[in-house]
This record gives sequence, C-alpha cells and structure tokens, in this order.
Amino acid sequence: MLNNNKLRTRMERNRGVLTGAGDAVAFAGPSLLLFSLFIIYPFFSGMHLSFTDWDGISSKIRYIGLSNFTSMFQSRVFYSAVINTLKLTIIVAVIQNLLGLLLAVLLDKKMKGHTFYKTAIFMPALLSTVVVGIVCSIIFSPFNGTLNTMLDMVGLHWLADVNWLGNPDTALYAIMFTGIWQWTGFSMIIYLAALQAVPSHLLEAGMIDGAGAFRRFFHIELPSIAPAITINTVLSVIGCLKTFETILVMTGGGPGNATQVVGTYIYTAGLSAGRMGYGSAISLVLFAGIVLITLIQVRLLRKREEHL
Amino acid sequence: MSYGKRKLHHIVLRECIHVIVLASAAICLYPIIFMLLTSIRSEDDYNTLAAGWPRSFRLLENYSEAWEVGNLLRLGTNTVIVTLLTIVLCIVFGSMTGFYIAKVLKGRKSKLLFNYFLIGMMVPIQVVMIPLLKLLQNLMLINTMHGILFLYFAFNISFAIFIYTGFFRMVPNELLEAAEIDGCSRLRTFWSIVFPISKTVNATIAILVGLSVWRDLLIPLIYITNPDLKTLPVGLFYFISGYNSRVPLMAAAMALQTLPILILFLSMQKLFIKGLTLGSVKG
Repeated sequence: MLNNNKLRTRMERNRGVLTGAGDAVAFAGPSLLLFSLFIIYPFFSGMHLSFTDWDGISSKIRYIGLSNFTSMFQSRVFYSAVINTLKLTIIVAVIQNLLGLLLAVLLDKKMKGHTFYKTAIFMPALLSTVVVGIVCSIIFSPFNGTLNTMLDMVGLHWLADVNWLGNPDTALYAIMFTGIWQWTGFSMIIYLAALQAVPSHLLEAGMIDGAGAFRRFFHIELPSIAPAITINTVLSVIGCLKTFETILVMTGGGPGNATQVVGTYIYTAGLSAGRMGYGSAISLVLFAGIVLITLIQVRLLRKREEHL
Repeated sequence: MSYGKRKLHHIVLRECIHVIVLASAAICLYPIIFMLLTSIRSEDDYNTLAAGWPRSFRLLENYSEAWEVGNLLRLGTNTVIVTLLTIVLCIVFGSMTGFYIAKVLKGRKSKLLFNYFLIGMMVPIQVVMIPLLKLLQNLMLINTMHGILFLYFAFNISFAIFIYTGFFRMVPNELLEAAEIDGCSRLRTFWSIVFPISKTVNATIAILVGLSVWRDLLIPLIYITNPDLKTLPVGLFYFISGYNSRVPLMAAAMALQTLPILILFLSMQKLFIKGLTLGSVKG
C-alpha cells in the first residue's frame, strides 16, 4: 500500500514534467515536423520557384520576375489545358454522380443478387490508375482492340474504325469514359450508405400519405442524403481537376495537345522539360483553381442542403 | 383487371431495373475479366482475335516471364515494404496526434492545429511536386526508400489525423479521467486505454492509406530513378514502352499487381466498404 502510494507520487511528478512541452513533442511532434517539411514548406518554396528559371539540376537559380506567368498566359497550350480540364471535370463529375445515384437507388431496393452487383460495380475503384489506363488503352486500341471488334459485331461499322485515343476529336472523351468507368462505383457506395441511413419511419409516413415512389424519392430521400451529395460532388470535382495518371498512361497529353490537362501540363511542360519555374507557376494556378472551385461548391451545396 | 395491370406494370419495371443493373455490372467487370483472361492466353491466340474466347493457354509461362522481365519480385517487395511502413506510421502518429488535438489541447489551440493539418487535404501532389524535387535533392533523399516513405507519410497523415480526431472527440472524458486518477501518464493512458478501442478506425486507415500507397505511380516515378528501388505501378508504367506488343505478358504483370487488392477486398468486403464510406463521409 505504502509502496503503491510512493509509486503514485512519482508518477504524478513524472506527469508534471511530461505535460505541456513533453507531451506536445511526443504526440504531435513527428506528424507536425514531417507534414510541415514535406507539404507546407514545398508549397511556399514553390511560390518562390515560380519567379525563377530553375532547370531542375543546376544550383544556379536566377530571378526572372513575372515572366513565367506572362509566358503561361500567352501559351495556347495552357489555355487548351485549362479548357480540357474544365470540360473533363464537368462531364465526368456530372455523369459519375448521376449514374452513381441512379445505381444506388436501384440497388437500395434489395433485389436478388444485389450484393454481387454492388461488388461488381464498385470493383474498378480498387484498381491502380496505371492498370486502368493500360487496360482501357488496349480495349480502345484500333489494332485488334476489343471495343472496335464488338462495335463491328453489333453492326456499327462506321464506328468500328475509329482510333479512339489517336484521334484528337475522340481522345478526351475516351479519357472521360475511363474516369467515369473507374469512379462511378465509388460514388454509388457513398450514396448507398446515405440512402440506407434514411430513417424508415419517414418513408413509411410518406407511403401512408399516399406519396408514390418518385415523390418519396424527391421529397424524402433526396433531402435526407444532401450531405452525401455534397461530399460526392466535392470529391469527384477535386479528383477530376487533378487528373493526371490516367492521361499520362493513356495518351501522354496527346494527340497534339488534345488531352492535355493542367495536371499533365505541369509535368510535361515543367518537370520533364526542365522548366521548373514555369511548372511551379502552373501549379499555383491549379491550386488556386481547386481552392476556389471547392469553396464555391461547398457554399452552393450547403445552401441547398439547408434549402431542402 | 386493374390489379392485374398494375402487377404487370410492376413486373416490367422490376425487369427493367434488373437489366440496367446487370448491364452496369457487366460493363464494370468487363475490363477486369478481360485483363485476367488475356493474362492466361498465348500471344498468337490474343493477336488472332482479342475479343474472342481464349483457345490456347499460356498461364504459367506468361506469369513467370512477366515476373522475370518485370523484376517483379524486387518491385513487389519494395511496394509491400513501403506500403506497410506507411500504414504503421500513419496509424501510430495519426492516432497520437488526433488524440492530442481532440483530448489534450483545448479551444483555439486545438482548432488551429487541426486546421493546419487540414491544409494537407487541399494540396494535391501536382502542386508541390516540383519544389519537392528541390527539397529532396537538398536533403539527399532522391532515390531512397525512406525519402518516398516520408512523402507518403506526409501526404496521408492529414487524412489520418482528420479521421482519428473525429473519432477521439466522441470518446467520453470519464474514461480518460479514470486512468489519470490512477496515475497513468498521458502516453500510458493513450496506449493502454485509448488506442485499443480505436481498432475499427485503425482498419479504416490501414485500408485507405494502404490503397493509396500500393496504387501510387507519381511519387516513385519522379523521385526514384534507380530501377531496383521502384514500385509496382512504375514497373507497369515502363511495361508500356518495353512490351507494348506483348499484351498477354503486360496483362499478367498487371494481374500480379491487382490480385492482392482484389483478394483482400473480396475477403474483407464489409470492412473495406465501411472504411471507404467512413473515410469519404468524414472527408
């Protein structure tokens, strides 16, 4: 007993030493250090680099003022990259969310084999983007590609000769299709979880009041899953804005610059061309764009959430 | 009559739904099945008609050749090591920092530190990939496994802290007070009382962080040039230029990178889906 008391006082003393600074270092130190060093610091040093002509190797770095930014705003490729990014983001995010929501609603009704369908539709979201990119390139290939073979088999001969990824008119759409294919299941899973959390007494009340399936969906379920809509759209828009790996693997930004997006433009015109200052300038635009669009989206959707 | 009509209506609707769902599932599965089937075919068979059913098989040969030429033992080992270490680091330090923010710090300080880490979730890798090159060069971390381990940790820790903080905020204070009255130090309280109750969160973090590292192409592509230190996705990326014309071989290499995820997913489906939805709902 006495011993125990002694132990306790010693521990209390130790605790006195540890509280405050000691605890802070032990609990938050490693995360804070590595996070600050590898995320926050590079973010600011990127701002600094965007005013220089660093080539990626030499230790000589020269300040060139705003010329990275002026050449960026004069570059036609930059504008087409911005437009492609926006096009891809709008089309993919809208279709991915509508399809995901539709499938979630259909699968919410526990039909025969619904677990299998859920698993199957979700599966592409587990694959590496490299794998998805390579497999889809093979499928889209004009030489023995299975898509064109199938189009030919069902009689769509005029479509069966298209070089999907090699034609500047279709390449971006093929990329979009790949993105939708990969991520719809992910949206579906989130919508499904939200739908299953809708309290059943609300739906029963609606039924008793004589509301049909459509009215129940639009007036009861949709408002209840509004937070899931916000999350899904924000996640898919951010994901689309920073698209990179799919395009790097499937087209490398080509043909021409038909599939160049901001994410790949940083890589091709900055990093691999040895124009690090220029690349950093584009990075800043990408970051500003992501922050701005996300803020607007959250604002709008939150407002709608309250409205519903 | 009207009842019968209504019933017919119902059946037609149900069948339509079934067809839509079935078609979606088929489209989603097709590329995966195509990859697996291609990986066991002979090249001649594939080149005759890629869309056809395989007729001549070359299962073991394809996989063993892909394993050899792709240096997959080496790349696979690298990927496993870096994935596991990132998971462990994110669970240990993510939970400690999350606990510190949720239960030790109070008021403004807590909020400030939390928001500071949240910035990380807004910064995609493309934004910092160039300055990171310079930083890693200066720190002599280019071409090192611990270099990319630090990066993976830094890019995943925000999310881990976010999830853990949310979880620990719901832990009742009484539980911690009881431990403190017993004279436990904070670290002891954490490891012996708090950490054991966060098993489900740990699983979520392990799944999400593990997936993001296992599948990542960009970090090793940029910061590793030594072929013996690369990871599986980079290996697959180089397959495109080297073995473009040998599709079954490429498919076997891709299957080898994909199968571990699919097997883990199918054996722990509930946990995966729970983790992914929790992760996104919080995010």
